[in-house]
Amino acid sequence: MNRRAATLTVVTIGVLAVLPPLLSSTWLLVMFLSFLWLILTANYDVLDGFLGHINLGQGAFFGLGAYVTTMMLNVAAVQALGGLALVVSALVAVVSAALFAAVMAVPLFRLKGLYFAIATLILIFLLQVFALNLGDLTGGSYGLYVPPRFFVSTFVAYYVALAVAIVSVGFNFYLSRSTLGLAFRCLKEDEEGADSIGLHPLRYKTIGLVLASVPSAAGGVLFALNAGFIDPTIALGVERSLLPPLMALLGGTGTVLGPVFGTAIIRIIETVFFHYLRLPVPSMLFFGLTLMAVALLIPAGLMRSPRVRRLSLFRAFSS
Amino acid sequence: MKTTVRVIAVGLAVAAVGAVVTPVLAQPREIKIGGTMAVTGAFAVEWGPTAKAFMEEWAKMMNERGGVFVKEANAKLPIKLTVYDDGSSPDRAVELYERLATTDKVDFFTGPATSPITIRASTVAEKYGIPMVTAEANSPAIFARGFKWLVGADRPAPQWAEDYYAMAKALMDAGAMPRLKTVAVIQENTPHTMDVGWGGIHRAGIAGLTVVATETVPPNAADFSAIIGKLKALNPDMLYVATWAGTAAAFAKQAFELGLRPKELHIPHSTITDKYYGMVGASIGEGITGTTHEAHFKHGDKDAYFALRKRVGLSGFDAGWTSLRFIALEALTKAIEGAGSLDRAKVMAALRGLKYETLHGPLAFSFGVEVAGKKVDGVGNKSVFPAQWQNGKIEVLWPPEVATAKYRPRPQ
Amino acid sequence: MARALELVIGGLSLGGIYALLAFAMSLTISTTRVLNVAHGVFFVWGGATFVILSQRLRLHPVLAIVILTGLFFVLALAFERGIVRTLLGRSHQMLLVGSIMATFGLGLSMESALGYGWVTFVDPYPVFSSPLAMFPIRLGDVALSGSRLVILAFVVVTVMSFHLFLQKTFLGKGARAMAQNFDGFLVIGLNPYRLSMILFTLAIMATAISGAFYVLAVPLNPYEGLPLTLKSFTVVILAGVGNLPATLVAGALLGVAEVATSQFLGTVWAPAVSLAVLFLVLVVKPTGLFGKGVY
Repeated sequence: MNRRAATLTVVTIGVLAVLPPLLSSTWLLVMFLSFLWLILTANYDVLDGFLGHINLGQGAFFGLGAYVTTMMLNVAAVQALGGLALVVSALVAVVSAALFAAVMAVPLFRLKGLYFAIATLILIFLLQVFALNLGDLTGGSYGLYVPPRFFVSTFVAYYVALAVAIVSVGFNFYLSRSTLGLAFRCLKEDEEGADSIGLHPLRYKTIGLVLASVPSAAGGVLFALNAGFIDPTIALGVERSLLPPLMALLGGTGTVLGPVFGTAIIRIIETVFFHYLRLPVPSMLFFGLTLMAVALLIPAGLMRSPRVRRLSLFRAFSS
Repeated sequence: MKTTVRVIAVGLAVAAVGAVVTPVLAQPREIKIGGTMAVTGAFAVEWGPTAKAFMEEWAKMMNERGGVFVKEANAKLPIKLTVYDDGSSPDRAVELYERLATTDKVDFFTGPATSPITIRASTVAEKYGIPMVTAEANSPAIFARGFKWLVGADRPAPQWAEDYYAMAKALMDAGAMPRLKTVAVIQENTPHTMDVGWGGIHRAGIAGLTVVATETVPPNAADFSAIIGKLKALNPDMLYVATWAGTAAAFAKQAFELGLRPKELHIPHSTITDKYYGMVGASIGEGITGTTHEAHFKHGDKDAYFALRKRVGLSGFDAGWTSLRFIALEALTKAIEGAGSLDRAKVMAALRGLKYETLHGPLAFSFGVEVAGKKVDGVGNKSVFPAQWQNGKIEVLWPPEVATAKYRPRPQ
Repeated sequence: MARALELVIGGLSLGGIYALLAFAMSLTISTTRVLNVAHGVFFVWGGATFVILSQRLRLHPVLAIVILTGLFFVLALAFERGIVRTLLGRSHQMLLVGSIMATFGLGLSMESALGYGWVTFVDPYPVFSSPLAMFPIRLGDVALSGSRLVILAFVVVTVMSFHLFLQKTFLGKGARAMAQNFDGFLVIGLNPYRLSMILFTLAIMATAISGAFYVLAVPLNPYEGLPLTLKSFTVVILAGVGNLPATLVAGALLGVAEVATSQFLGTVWAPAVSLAVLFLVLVVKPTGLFGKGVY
């Protein structure tokens, strides 16, 4: 990364860090939710961009994070911990999501391509069914409430989400430069070859999935604590798993900045349509058409399109 | 390169400043009411663009009448209603309610469609201390959180069963309905339908019925062969089907075809809409009973209501929410008039003490009462009307004051 | 005994419904490799169009199907020209990704267009259901659902004719060749664009007609399309992509498994069972129960 790119990164983060006091609460919330999307998208790209697996179940980690925290905070013994309860339940939530990732890695990574994508999507639906049916634990379709004293304000949540998002994108940047990332890409290009030089595929893929699950779960924890209420459609909705791939693909997978731009563009389109352009016809209609046009006109994603790649500024980030 | 950095930095700064709210408050010249509606997305099946149009027409009508008299301003103030499309997404609804609170600076909130969205959206009302009057959200869980700025015009869904069972008892005692002894309850696993089902199960005693089976089905279930088989063996006199319209139609069709013919088939939610009969056909539709919020109203501002319905092209039983939306908006304006002020705390106090004659009779919100095992605040007391399909027409059965026909046993 | 038989028949007819959802999707993925996420939306549009034609305009059901086929022929041409053709030349991964994104976008717009259009122009309650073809059947002690049997018959006939088309006709053989090697296909001088047009118009017309049959038994609403795509995808994968007769078997297996679950564990667990079965099948034999798998 050259100096120019470094300066720009620092300036962007600096602006985002001083922004909240200036933002209206709406924009604070919009930005906070966008950071959550960015976390999911960047995490998604670990598997897609660097390991070549389309994971349509990234939202599972988000949902697990949200559910485990909320379930913990509803236990009297945990509540008795006072301020520590938040930390404990958040930690347990993130660790359980990581464990889930490690366990699911074994069956999942037997699969590739379309089959991997479908298997991961199934996970989301299975978790939904469990969340719906195990009512005593999860509140079933009624959902679960976070006790009000554990609410996290959007202001605080903004900063934590920003930090997690920076870590997520930073991790992808690390992957684009490090031996771990190189190992990942070796596996992506030629799995058997990589295996023959001692890169155990399952081990590296598991590492990738587990590392990608942690920030997503943290995002879920934050979401639950800020929203104060979760139910199967809110925490484990399909769109939390399907939109991140779209955002990553739109931005360009495996390019570090791709997920950032992809998330930003989709969120901007969404916000403009739903908040500002109050069209007499449904906003979703235009949102869908925009997605379609992008897919047809920019096949490889923004950051991979030749015109953007020609800008030296962006080249500094891509690999 | 410096130019690039500078341009981007300036751009970001401008965007930030643009987003900052610059509050300029003048003397109130209008009453700003805001809310979101599921114009698109999953919940748009029952609400959709018509609900938004209905609310906007209501504001227009109020303004044609000159607005709402506010004593503090000593004038009739016009209503400015802002309704956004939340696309049935709770996240987006919260964003938009935040926007209504801070950017649009509305004085009061109307509720969004359905319980899950209301649960999230009402937290914004609570946070800013903005009175919110919800219309159709009737899950007791919403009102059991001790919120201070929330009232709901609808009556909690578990109580629907009470009115229906009370009617059944009266009819059976009078010999107008064959004596029924057993009931089987089917409930779809979504909050509203589970609430309706809760009433169906726990209030069966009102009509002296024994619950012989309780079956929960997943949302949007398409196949009921196993359940229908079980129920045929039990042969209950009454089936109480607490599901949404599509699921209820799928169930009713399959039950009919597989020969499950209860003496009484009660599908509370959305069977009493004009569409239902066409969906299932006469052989199933005839004799089904359900619950409606709509009747040939004799009380309240009924002329305005009927006129309004006509303006958006709705017949009486086109949609389930029309009278509820009307009552919610009306209750809010009554409270504003009562408070004589746009002060939110005063209006909220007025809402808490509100008593007036609406379409369904006297309306008041209750606090600290128990519903479905929960202590709830701010729930409405409007009525629901048991009704029945007879000869391809909807007939309201109960209470006798608004009834258009007598109960007829289902053709066997 | 009669009870067990009823359950099995219930499961089989549910399987017919699943196969109905799935077969056209299986056909297009396997030949053109375009994953049409809007598949379920076309299905819902088919159901909605049928309800307008047969209920609102009171046309004879057969006439309604004929008109519906014509309408969707035009729609399919536009879809193929506008989207599929742009995607076809792309590399394998890009084709998969591009088709998912483009058709997802299209699906979203079509959903809201239908939801909005119906409420604005037809009636305020967009649930599509047809009371036609509803008759109880009794064979001794066993009760059968007439509408579901009609669906089962329709899907068996349709799937088998598509299968014969692929196996026996020149075009069908070409389609299978295309599935195996798109570039080689260009070399031997057949026009893959013409073939993709034929396949997509056939598949979308079949999807729309299937939607019309579906609303005989189960109502649809405008926002159900994308979830239905996922459901149909389950069947496609379970059967093995491109294996049309196997979609019938896979659908039946799923149907029987779900009905059995409803009977013994409770209906709320039925969705979990079909998902778990699919997951296991994927992990153990990714090409589907019966597939050699072209994907």
